[in-house]
Amino acid sequence: MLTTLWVLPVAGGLLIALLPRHFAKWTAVVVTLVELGLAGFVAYSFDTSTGGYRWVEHVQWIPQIKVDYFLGIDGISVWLVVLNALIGLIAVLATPASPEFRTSRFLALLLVMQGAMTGVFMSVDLVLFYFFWEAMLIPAYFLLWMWGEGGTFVAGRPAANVSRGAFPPQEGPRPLFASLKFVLFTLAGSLLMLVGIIGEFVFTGASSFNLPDLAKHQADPVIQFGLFFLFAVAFFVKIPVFPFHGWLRDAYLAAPTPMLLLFAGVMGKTGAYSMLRILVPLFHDPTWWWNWNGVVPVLGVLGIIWGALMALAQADMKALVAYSSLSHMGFIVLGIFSFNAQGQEGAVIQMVNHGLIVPALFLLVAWIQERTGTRDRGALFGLAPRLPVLAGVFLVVTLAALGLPGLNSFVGEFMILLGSWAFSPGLTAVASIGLVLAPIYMLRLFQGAMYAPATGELPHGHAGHQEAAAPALVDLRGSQLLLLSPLLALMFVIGLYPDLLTRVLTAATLGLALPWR
Amino acid sequence: MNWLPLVILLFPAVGGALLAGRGWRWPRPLTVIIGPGVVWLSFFAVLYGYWTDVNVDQTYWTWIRAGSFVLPVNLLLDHLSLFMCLVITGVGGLIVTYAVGYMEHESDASYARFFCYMDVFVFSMLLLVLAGNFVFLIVGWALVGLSSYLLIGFYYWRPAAVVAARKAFVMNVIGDVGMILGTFVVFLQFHATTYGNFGWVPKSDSGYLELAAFLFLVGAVAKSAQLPLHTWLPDAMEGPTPVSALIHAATMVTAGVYLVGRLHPIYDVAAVAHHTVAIVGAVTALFAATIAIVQVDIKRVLAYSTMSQIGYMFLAVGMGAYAAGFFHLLSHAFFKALLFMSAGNVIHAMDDEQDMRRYGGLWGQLRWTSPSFLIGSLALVGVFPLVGFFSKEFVLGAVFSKPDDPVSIWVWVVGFVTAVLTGFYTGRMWWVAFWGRPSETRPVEQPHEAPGVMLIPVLILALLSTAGGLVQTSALGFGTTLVEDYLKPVLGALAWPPSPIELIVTIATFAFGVLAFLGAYLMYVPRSERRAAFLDGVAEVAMAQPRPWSEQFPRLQALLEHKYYFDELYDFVFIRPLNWIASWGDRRIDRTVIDGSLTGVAALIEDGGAGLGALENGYFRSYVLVFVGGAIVAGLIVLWRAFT
Amino acid sequence: MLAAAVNYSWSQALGDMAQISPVLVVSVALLVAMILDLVLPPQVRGASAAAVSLVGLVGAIVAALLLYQSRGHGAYSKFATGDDFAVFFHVFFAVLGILTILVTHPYLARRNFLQPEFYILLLAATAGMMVMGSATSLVTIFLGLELLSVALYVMSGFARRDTKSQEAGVKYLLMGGFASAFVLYGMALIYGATGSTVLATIAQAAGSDTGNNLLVLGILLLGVGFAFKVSAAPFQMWTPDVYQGAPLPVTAFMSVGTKAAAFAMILRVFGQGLPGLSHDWGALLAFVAAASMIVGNLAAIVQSSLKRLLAYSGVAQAGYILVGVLGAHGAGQAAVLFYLAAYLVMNFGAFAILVVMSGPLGDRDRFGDLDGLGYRHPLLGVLMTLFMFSLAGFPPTAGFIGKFFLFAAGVSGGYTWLVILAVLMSVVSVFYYFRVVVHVWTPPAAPEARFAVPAGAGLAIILSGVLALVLGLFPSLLFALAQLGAAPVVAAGG
Repeated sequence: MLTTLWVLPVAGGLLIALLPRHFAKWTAVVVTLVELGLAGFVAYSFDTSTGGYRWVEHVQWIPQIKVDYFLGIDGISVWLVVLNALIGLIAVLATPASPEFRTSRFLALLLVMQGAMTGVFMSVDLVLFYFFWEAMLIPAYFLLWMWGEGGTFVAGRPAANVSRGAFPPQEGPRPLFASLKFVLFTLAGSLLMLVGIIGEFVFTGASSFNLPDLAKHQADPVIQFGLFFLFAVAFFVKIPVFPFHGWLRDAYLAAPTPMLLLFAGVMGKTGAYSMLRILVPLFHDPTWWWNWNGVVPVLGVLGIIWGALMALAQADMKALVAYSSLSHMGFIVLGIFSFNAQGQEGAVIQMVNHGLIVPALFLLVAWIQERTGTRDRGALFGLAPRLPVLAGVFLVVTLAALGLPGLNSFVGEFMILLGSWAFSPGLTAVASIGLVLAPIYMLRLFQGAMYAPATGELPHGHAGHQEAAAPALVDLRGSQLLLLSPLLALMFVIGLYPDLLTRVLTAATLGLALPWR
Repeated sequence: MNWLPLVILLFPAVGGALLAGRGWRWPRPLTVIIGPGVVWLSFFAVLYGYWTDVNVDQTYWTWIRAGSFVLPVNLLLDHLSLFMCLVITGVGGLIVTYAVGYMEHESDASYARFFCYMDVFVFSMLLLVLAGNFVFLIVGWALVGLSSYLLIGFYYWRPAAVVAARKAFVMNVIGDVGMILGTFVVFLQFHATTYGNFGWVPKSDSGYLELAAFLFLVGAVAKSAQLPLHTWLPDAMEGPTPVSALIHAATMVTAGVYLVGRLHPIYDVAAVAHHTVAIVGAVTALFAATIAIVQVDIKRVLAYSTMSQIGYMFLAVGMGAYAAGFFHLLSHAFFKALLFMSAGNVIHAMDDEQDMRRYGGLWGQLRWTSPSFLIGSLALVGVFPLVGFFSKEFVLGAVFSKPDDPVSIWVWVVGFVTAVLTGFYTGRMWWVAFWGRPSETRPVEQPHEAPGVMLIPVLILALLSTAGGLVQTSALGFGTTLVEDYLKPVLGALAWPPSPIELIVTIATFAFGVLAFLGAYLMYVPRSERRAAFLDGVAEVAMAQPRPWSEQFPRLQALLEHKYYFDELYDFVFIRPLNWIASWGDRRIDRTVIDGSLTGVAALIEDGGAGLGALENGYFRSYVLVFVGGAIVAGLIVLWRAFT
Repeated sequence: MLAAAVNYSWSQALGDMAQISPVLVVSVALLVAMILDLVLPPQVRGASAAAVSLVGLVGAIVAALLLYQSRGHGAYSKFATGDDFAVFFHVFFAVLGILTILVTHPYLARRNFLQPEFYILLLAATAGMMVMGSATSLVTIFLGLELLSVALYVMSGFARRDTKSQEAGVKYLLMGGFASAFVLYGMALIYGATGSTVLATIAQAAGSDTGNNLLVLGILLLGVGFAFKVSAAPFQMWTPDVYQGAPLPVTAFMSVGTKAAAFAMILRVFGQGLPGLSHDWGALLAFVAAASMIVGNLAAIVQSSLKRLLAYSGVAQAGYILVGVLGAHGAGQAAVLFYLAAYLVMNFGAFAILVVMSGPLGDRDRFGDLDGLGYRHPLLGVLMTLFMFSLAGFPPTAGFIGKFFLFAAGVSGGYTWLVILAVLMSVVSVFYYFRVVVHVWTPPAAPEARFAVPAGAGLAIILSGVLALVLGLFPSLLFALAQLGAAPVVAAGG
């Protein structure tokens, strides 16, 4: 079952690569629909009685060094798998089907990426985990580079000069540089994690790679200290945690919207998820001279504040959303490292929430750009009277993003802060500044674009899309509304009935919360 | 399973949803029916609850469970929430009906949007008072903030309105955060998530209890526009007048009072926080009254007077005179809504002109509105036998007669002074706007009275403001105590007996208030314009005082007109630094240090590569050189290793 | 030893020959090819030589498989052996040879080189490598080394009209001779210290006597020589020039072959002959490994010729493999063998694609020449991408698993610092490997004609591509073989 969950998208992707263009999109839709169905079935038929893994698949892979093909889903991963499937479907639907866009290749890579991420969420064996973790990068790299703004297939011009002197990069849209920076930076982290994985095998004396065993063997604190950081850096970069977000701006700005949905919506979560899945259970005893369990939350809080501040400074709406997600991820990190059920459940809920909100925001920004030809929130104004539906939807998403009580994001942030208050009130007080800054930048985003007089001509700024050359101010199309509707619906559902998620979570996260906390 | 609370909630919710959905495509009459209709429906539901005297704490489903934190979704319908619901839906119903006429000139889309927001507001406010646990209290708390934001920014083509809306929202979020943190303390220290009749509140004061009380107070202060989080309320007057009447006078801004009343078991124990409530209230009351003296925008005068009156309620509940506080809440809802709505009529008649110096001489020209406004003003001043008299005197009397409390007497003094100031600025407003000759710059020569749909609610409220006081006449020392009795089950009785001299004090307050009101006549109506034979006896006094006080104290006036420079201060201390830090960090740190470090390392590596590449010059001799050099280094390493 | 020579029975002779049968088979094929070259008419010489060599190499594989797990305990009084280590390398080199021939044949025709000589030299070199695989005595090792080297000297200069090729040949000859001298001197010293050239005997004599200056000096000189052969820094200077100058097939062949042979030699001499002194040679190799990782990767970034880039990447790869040599006993050696196999498929595959692309006039190895490959030949483009990802060590390729084995061995061998350096450097490597990928998928400035992909070459490329994936997904089988192969050098060492 679980194998199907990750093989299906990959196989579908390879199939699409071979199919002619006209079938590509529909095949992809079918594949992702089935994927969503399977994931939904797994979530629906999930036995909530106890913690631990369900649907386990455990066979030997490289017996000589005890590497196993070990898949399993528990209360934490199940929701991320479902989220991945859902966002995947939406991303596929949001993909334009045009010859010059090379749709079939795009979708192929997209699906492979989705499959790899599914694998990350399901693998219990560390080597297998790493396998998917890295495999994820390859399609991401190509999508970012070739379909990124100003990329090979988008601006229609060949990629930037790539032989000597790619550093320092040229100005302007530079997907090649962005993708390379993202891959190298992420890789630096994850290869260190590879050393960490080996170290776990060697130094804990567990001589095994699967998490349950490793959790039973705690290495000597000093060793743990080293291993912790070998792992942590990889996750810090991927999430990203302040100050490891150097790749964020360029990558998100370059990323093509459909890919960005999965990229921002799900890939960041793989880092947070792994933190919860690997760092928390594996490294119980910090050294007395450096307690990382106290340090990481500080980074999280710094991220919350810094992300919010940077979001305040951005004129480009896409960049603004990018930094807002840096701020949100800070909350997640804080929740994970509060070491109690409330905080960690909040973190998981927030992963899902963020996975719902950020894609919606990026879609809306993309649609606004498609209509007006610009993403500069200073240049936009008075869209509300012309595009009432878009404005309404945008309002709801904005409110969800700034954590309005009653919508989903509030639940996560509330639980996270509750947990972290138990962990450190002072830190929580600082973190809650983020709650005050969020409405400032989110409302700047919303009001800047939507309000002000409806009169006057809209600017025709430089646009990444060809169709933006002649902006047609048509309101949200039915199809686009349909695309957003599941996200919007879930924002309300999770806001009013979060127990839907926590029912499954409690058993799982309670296992992780450390006894001595 | 008692569905009544849910039903009360759902009417406006459904109405709002319907209007949000397709409302902007509907014919106007449908909007007219649904918009106010749903509010009245839930008003009747509340009435039903009132007659049948329901008193339930109903749980519907589990919201979340995380370890020991398990939160039910429960609604609490007791006397206090019923009382609030009556105010919200009753006064609310009147105001929304009034809006049917007031928003006449809007386009169909905006028209529907307005009523949608109004219904959403009513829903949120009801949720706030019906919530049976802290989380849903916060949800309602934030949702009223949201609808206030939407309605302030209703005229989104006015930049001022947009800014004001954002300001209001952010300030309210500060309050929300306070409440959230307060909830954390309550859960983690006292293991409570729902009110549960506050059995969990410890009998003796403790640091954590004070902390919680203070954190909740932050929420109350932000929502009720008390110092120092008050600056959003005057700007909120950018919204349509019915909004100011409903949200920023009658209901939402009094949520803080409700909160303190609802959580009174906490405040009864947490003495420090409790006194802080009273002091904040008193200071705000005086502070706002002084500013109101110099405002020229009629709505802003009313806004500051609202702040001031809420200050009264705060000092009442802060002193433990809960019933008094809530009675004043009720009467304030009546007369302030009345004032705003009749002011709305005036503004309507004056082509949306709000500067009252450009009115003048409306008395007699607006046959129904002027008397209503007068009733409202007198009630605000506290003239017997209007409702304002009974409520305000109830508050002041209770505070005055509170025994062995060091603060109470000072609070009373402030309250007394404020009462006098209230008389003064109300008088100023009344005389300047309605009396004397029409100002030369008056936009409309012959103003015409508002249509019926706008008059009837006004008149109803005028009636209520006139006779409403009879339900609670304890200020006179005898008579009815309906409000007090009704709220007793929740708020408890007044802990101390009225003092014997209370009545004298009451009369004194009343007298000085009225004198101030009349004094304003002498100061602001030029002698030439004073109606003949009216007060001519006293008129001579005015001769000694030809010029208004403000001309003699320009500094003081400037201070007041700039509202004690609070906006400037906040702008200087918070907003500018924030933006500066943001843009500076973006340029100097995020792009340079964090991002630059990556590209820097990359460039470094590439340079290293270039250097090594240069070694590769193709000459055999240099290769051998490198070879031998390497061999020597290797040799050293091996030897070192071998002999250590 | 003399006594042994006196009563040297037929049965023993046969047994000895059986143990080195793969080498014999190849040598026979070599002779046959030479003779045919004399008797056959010119137009068929090339094809026949190719056929003969193919047959010979296949035969060698068969012979090797017959030896599989025959527990060969030394032939010719322990000068050579047919143990599983040898078997592994026999098969390895035979496969390499076959792939080279498949790829080369059309290339030679296109550039009208003298064909038979090429195959003869190829066989000679292969034979030399095989000898190094099976040799268990310093003498035989040196024998194989020289046989291999001399053949390669000639092959590097094979493009007679191409001055770069000439230069490459000469440089390689001079530097190689220089290095061989080091090796020989080192061997002499070790013989002097232990009184034997047979590894087993040396192992007993040397024990773990680290104080012995002769030994230490010998190790130093040997180590330097070996480092040269695996083209590890700081002894790599010859590599880029030679790789660039030599004709592409030769580069492809030796980039894998010499490295593998040299590692076989290192494992034999250090692992089997001087296990007790790992304290000393460990330090040496660690230094060399670190140096080559840094130099190789950094220098590769700035290259504009693919051959040079792959040369430097080869330097870096040598560094990674050395980590395995230093690694834990058993795991380390096995990891080395596995990675060599992975290196064979991915590196040779990459070169093979260049070979196919190269035109009649000369090799085309500028980055620009790659532009649009992915659009002209999608399959080649995908495979090139695959090889690059594999070299960069991305899952799901052989390169990833191979590196994983190496690093795991390194960490458990106590060289964590080296492993961390290795991973950081492989981040750098991604930079230039990806640059190749970028060019493959960059639309060409001017649309170029599709070039024909000869069947043999295509087969070889696809084969290596498939292997690169399969080894990555299901590595356990080959790893089991690698463990068997490593057993002798480990057992002796352990």
